[in-house]
Amino acid sequence: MPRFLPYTSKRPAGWWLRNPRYLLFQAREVGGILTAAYGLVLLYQLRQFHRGPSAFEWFQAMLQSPPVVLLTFVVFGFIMVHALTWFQSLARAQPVALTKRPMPWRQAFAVTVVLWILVSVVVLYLFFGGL
Amino acid sequence: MDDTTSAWNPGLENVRADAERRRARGEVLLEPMVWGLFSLGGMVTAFLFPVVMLAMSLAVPLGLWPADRIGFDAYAGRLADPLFRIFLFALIGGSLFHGAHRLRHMLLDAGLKRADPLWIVILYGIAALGSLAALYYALLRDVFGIRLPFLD
Repeated sequence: MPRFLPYTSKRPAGWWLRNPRYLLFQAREVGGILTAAYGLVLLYQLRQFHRGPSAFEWFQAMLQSPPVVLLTFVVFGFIMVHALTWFQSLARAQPVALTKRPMPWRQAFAVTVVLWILVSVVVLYLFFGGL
Repeated sequence: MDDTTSAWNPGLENVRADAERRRARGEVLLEPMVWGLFSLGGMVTAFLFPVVMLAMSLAVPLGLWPADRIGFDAYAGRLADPLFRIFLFALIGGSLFHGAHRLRHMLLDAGLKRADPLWIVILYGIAALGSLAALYYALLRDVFGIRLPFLD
């Protein structure tokens, strides 16, 4: 019985810079991690709320300071990449099998995006009082 | 296993041995659980984070909203709705487990495989503690009246 060693592939450090697809993949990975960073912001905001109005307003003022707003826009960009590519891979990894032939992924992607916009509008009006 | 099976499935014994090893290490319990939470968190973050960020962080600097719509009173008004409290818990818990899993696999992909137990403890630990804190602030403390003085 031969001994099997696990196969380990070696990649150069900048492998993801050479192809726009790989770059997009890394952008989604970063976006996924940044969602957790924003989740921590939401958690801290919730904690500050319980510590009273002055603590809350201090944190809000910090979040609305120009450098933090700029950073938030960058994070928002990554989170949008994450969302859209997530819908894309959702349509590909789990083909919609309600019809006889599975729905083409572009079509499933389009349906998901429409659903996402709908959910976003509902959330906006349900929790944030609309635009 | 008899020889005919392995003859028709070269590598089967290897796969089996690997599965046994994983089972012995307890990975069979952890991996599906964290993958499930990762996927759930991915859904939550993909569907809900853009609109939440837009409302809670970007609408005011973009000039869409006056500043008092993200002030203390507006936030208190939102928290009056129990559905918003559940929503907030789902956002925080989902994003933390999603991000923890992504970061762990990014570190493993970068070749830091030997430290995996450390990543597991640190990253899923932060995600679990953060989710519990969110559960406390969003629901347990105000809705169920459970008080943990060290968190207040």
